[in-house]
Amino acid sequence: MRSRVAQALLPPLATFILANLVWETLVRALSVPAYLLPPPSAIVGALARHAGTLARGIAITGKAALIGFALSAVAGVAAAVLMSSARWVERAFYPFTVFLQTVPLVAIAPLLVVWLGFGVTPVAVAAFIVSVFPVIVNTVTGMRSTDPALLDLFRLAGASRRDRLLKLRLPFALPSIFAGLKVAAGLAVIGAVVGEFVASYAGEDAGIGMLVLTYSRESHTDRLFAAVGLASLLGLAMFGGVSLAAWLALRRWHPSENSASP
Amino acid sequence: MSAPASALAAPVIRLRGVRRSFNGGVVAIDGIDLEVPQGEFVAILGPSGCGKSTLLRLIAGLDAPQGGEVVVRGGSALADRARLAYVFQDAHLLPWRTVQRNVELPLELAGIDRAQRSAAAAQCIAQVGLADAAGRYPAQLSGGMRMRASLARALVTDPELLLLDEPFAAVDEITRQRLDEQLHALWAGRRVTVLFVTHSISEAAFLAQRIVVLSPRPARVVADLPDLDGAARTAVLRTEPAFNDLVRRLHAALAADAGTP
Amino acid sequence: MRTKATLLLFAFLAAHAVPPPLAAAEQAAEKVTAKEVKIQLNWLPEPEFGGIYASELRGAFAAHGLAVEILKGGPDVPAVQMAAAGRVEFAVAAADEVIALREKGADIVALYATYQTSPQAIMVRRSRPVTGIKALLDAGGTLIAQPGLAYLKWLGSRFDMSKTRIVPYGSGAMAQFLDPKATDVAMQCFLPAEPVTARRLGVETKIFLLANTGFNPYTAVVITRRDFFTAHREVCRGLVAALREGWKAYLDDPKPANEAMAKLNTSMDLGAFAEAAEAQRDLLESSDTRQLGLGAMNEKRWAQLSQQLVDLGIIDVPVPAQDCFVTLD
Repeated sequence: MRSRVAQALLPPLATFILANLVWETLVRALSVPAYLLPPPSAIVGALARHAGTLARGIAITGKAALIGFALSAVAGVAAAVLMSSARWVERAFYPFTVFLQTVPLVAIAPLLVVWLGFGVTPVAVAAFIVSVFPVIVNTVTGMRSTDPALLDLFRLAGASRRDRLLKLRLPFALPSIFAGLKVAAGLAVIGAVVGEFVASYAGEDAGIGMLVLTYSRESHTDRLFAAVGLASLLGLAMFGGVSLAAWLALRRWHPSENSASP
Repeated sequence: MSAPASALAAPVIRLRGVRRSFNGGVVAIDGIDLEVPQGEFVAILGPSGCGKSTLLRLIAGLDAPQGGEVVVRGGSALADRARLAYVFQDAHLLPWRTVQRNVELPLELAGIDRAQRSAAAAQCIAQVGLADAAGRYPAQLSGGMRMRASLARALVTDPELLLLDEPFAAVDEITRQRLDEQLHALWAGRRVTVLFVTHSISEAAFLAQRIVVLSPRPARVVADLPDLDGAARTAVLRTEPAFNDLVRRLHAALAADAGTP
Repeated sequence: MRTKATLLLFAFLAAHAVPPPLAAAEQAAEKVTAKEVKIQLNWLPEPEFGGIYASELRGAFAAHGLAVEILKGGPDVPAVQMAAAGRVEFAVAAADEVIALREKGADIVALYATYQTSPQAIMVRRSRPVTGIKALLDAGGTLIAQPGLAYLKWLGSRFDMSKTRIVPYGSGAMAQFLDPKATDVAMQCFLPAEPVTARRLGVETKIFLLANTGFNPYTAVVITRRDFFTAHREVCRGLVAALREGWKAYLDDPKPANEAMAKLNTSMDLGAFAEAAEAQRDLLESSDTRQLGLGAMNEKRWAQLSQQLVDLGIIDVPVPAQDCFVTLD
């Protein structure tokens, strides 16, 4: 187990370090102005000097992203289960979920401000809007792919609809659901950051998205990169969290989480 | 038909002129008559794709005929039917449940309480020889073990009618023969009515009391042969001349109808 | 049959599409002399840029050998960075932006300072009982402002802003300010712009100029990169001259430029443009401009601003004032 974790972490870590070394060297050698592209050393410096503001920012963004993601998970799965209950339900509502996916967030974010004001609420809604679609799509796919023989078995056993849903269809769909959740995790962070461009407080309660905007306007590119880096880390952390949950739930029985099958 | 009124004599399954076709005008079953008395072990033998599985599904109530009638003791409706268990070609276990909990499943769905169903499941698991693996997950079992678990699951409700659709087709020959022996022993111990669909002549000859041979699609009964009743079902049987004679007759029955359009 | 007709049609069109030889030569000659440049505005077309549009309309740019493309901006257009990166030849910025970017290594210089007094202000409803910025910030509430602007840091250093919540200035800012339920909202504004809009929508305002608190950077400054200036001195000279003419014309009669800008910025009607042009008059002139011409700058003010930015922590070391601007006659 320990060596497996090391095996997973070592290659990307090595690549990351190498990339940063190349970046640092190039920026110094070519004398690139700091406001255009700061070297990693400047970014780390900015991270250290403004740790307080950045930490506050990522906490605010993280809170909104988590709420949005949680909403997506619950509402997305629920909606998908509902849509899978009957063909006509699916046909009636599925196109609207596609619509949710295609409306650009930057266009509706100002509307969110009008309806919900500033702060965590509209940002969480933004995160939800962006991340709910993959949950729905993957869950519907998972619900559709139940083993027909098992459906027959349940039918022969006289199982109730509730039993069929909770004991067969939902567990069967779990790998698909987790696949959707993994995608949704990263998207929730993106949705939160973009939502914050418009809907976050500035000043003391600024989320990472607002800090990105502020640093951009101030031409503090090193702080900007530090903020963006933290946002990426947040996305990674959320993705990692979902992956861990998936591994815990599926490791005993699904080939996607098994390292070896008999 | 002057059948005695006692329940024992009335057939568990009665099919009259059953017809079933699918979209595109494919006639899977064209007029089948069949009667299966209580406790009989019947093999349904036919080439692949001849409609054997369709027939089994009609009997199970998973499908309805377009012509004729299917009567399973108790009535035509699924709800009235005798206690029925179905074994598929693949084990189809719930991968997220242990063997124990998989075998408990039919009882769980019927609302039986935990203690009762746990005991019943443990008993069936022991009967198929999986007692050591009861806590394992399907992914950790071999194909043959999974099939045995599926069998245990079928037996846990103590069914009156056991339908098996080529259950051992996906298992290797050695394991298959062992499973055949086990199944026969289980049947002998319980007196359950068994319908066993297969395309393997030797398997049909080994297992059944009676062999119904179906023609290629559209399926009709081509032959209905009594088997080697009473003979001990051991590995030795496969070498006996009577056995091989039966096999030859079955071959002939199948071949005779092979070219029929 | 069909192809023959099509060919004839093409031939007919081609014959009439080619301009007569003399006109072509004239066009070619003009193209060779006029220098094509872009100027990036840092907001939507408003009286703030009236002189620029007036120059264009009067042909002042063309008369000085320039073909100027005016690119309109908005709340999030990084005009000064675009000029620093060489994407555009000229841009409009505030003096504090110029100093901040210079300190980070961008060699940009100011050519023309439109506003001698900064129009940066904070506005509230006239009905609010606050008498000045200090009173406003002490009372708390919401301030709609663009985060990252220097004046906000200035306010933070001079006054206690702990009771004030800052929300970003976005497309819904005016609607938020005008909301009758919003009794404690203040908004960043430019003196000739937002207050005029508010008044025309029925809300009278009180305006608190930042300049009155001691923070008075040159605003709507036209800037360029130093290497462009060195290589194209005459072009820059011509631009400044054209701007002076345009602004003078705009001060005399803002109507033609207003009409042009109103077409590009539909958020304000012509009446608003007229009011705004009137409101900003006093901000455009100073003793410097009366002596040296419109847009003139002096070293002392640049030095003062540079020191202020150091005190605010926006830059680490003061930037030499003489490096920040150039004087062209």
